[in-house]
Amino acid sequence: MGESSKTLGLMNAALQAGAESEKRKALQQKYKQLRAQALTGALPVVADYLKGLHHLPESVLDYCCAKCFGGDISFEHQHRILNVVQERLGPKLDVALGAALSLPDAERNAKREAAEFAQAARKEASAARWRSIGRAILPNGSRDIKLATAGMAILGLLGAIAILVYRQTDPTPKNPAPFSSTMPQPIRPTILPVHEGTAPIGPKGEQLTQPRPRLGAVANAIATGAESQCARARAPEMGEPLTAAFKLSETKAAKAADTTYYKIAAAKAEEATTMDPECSEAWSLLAYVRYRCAYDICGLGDYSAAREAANKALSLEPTPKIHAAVLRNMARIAAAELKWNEAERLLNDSLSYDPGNHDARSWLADLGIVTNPRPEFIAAVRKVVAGEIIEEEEIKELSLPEMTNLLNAPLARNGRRLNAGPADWFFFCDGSPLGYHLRVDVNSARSPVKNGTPDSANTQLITGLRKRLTSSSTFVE
Amino acid sequence: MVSKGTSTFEDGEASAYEALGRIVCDNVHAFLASLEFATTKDALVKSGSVEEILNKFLASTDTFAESFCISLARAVRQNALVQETRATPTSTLGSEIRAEAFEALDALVARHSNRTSEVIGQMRQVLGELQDTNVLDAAIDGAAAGWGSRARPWA
Repeated sequence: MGESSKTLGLMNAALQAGAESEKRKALQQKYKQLRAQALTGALPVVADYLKGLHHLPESVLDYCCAKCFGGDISFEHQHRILNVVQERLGPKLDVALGAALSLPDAERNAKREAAEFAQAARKEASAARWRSIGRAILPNGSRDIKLATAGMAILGLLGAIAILVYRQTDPTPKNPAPFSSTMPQPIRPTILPVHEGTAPIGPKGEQLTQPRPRLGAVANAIATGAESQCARARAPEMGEPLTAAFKLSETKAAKAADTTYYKIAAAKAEEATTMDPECSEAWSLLAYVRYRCAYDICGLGDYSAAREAANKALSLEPTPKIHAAVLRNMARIAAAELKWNEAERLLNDSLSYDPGNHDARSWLADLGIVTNPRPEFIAAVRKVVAGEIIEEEEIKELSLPEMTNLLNAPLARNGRRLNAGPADWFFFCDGSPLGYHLRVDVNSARSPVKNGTPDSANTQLITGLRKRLTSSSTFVE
Repeated sequence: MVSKGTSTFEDGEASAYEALGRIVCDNVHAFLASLEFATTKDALVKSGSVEEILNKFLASTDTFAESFCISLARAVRQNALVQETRATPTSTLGSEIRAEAFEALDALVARHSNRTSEVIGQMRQVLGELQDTNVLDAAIDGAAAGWGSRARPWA
């Protein structure tokens, strides 16, 4: 390598770093704008709600009096009571409304004061530092003190620029909360799970009104109580065991049955629960990795430790998202124990906390296929294990979850597992209603592979199915 | 149906109106008192952040509406002259009152929640992009490009 190439390399490094830094700055700016937008939009809701409260007594009394007295209602009594109520509540509502209207100003003022205070403190600290350095280097009041101080000031300035550049390039916290404030953060309460999105049901089962506001979702997004309960387990100075456990739990081993990473993840997650015993997220993760460590395809695993961790996570009143994740883990455990009904119930429960969760939905679909496979699907699986190519017409008969599961069939033929879940049991275990009938086919299909016969039929099948899965949306449920 | 199922207790009628009025006053008072974190001059200083105020506020409104409607439903059932109302379970009646009387307030919170969720979604997306950017990696890539493919002709 010549000098010129090194120079070019350095220049490239600087250019790329500069471009990346610019990109980060633009993203940070966008993030700040969005946060400001969220707060600007959110603050008036307090005032609007209080304004709406002015009209509440009237509508409440109107409806309740009608319900109470039917045709015998006395409007005179109703108006008299309404006047009394409004006289009593009116002034208090006005005071509360005034305070709520001033919230945005208070927020701006508090931020400005905090910034001014911080700036003054920085200046004072800096001045004190230079004074002490000056005394240490030039204790006898040298005549060159001014020159030396000026020199140090230049050095300090350069240092400050370096720090500024460093901060601009990587100022984002590892896991910042979407709403994290610039002010000192108190420990916030965790919002109890709210079953949002459900409409009140009438006596005949009819929906009485529009679904309730999805308070839980927003409260969960805003609340960072869960994060503060996991602060030590996430702290870099403590080794970030929770983050490390998450990463390890998602690391794929070379062999699907290899649980090495899960075992290390379990150790890290245990460390996290020791550091932060109230961190439901850590217990939930521990439940998951313990389940993966103990997993047995045919329902022979011991999941007591995993279940214990899951129960502990639930006892900590987790946020709806984490609650849903724990229930999904418990459903996985139930499925691994071949308790299909319990798994189904738990997955449905988890969806009430996190309705949009894709994992829960696809697992429910899997369970449906395992417990009640359609003849078309069984026929397709039979063809796969026999090494035959499935025709386009036959693929069209299958739903998306069935096709996804069918992709596991070639692996069953080759004696390998693809993932941990009901599908494994479906293809591999003696107890499976379908697996039992397929067993002979699977065994006979395995033998040519052992003899080194090319597995072209399976390759074509997978290619065909994958094309189908990516090109068509008609199968999406 | 309603007229057949009604009875008259004129003496208690005025007190029934008063009971409803008292419930309205007590519940709104209690709600305003619980909103101290958002409606006092130094609310921000005490609460620490706007996020916390909003967070508490969202939780308070739902609790307020729920308990208020149940209290009203109980009183309505106890004082109702209409048999059908007396026969309606308290929870069902509570839901009906909420649907009718709180419609505007619940819709307000729902609108706000949807808007906020949308912005939070965008914020998460930006955060994801931020976490994907890495100045050090970019510099190393740049340096590698300089020393590698581009530099080779001169090396």
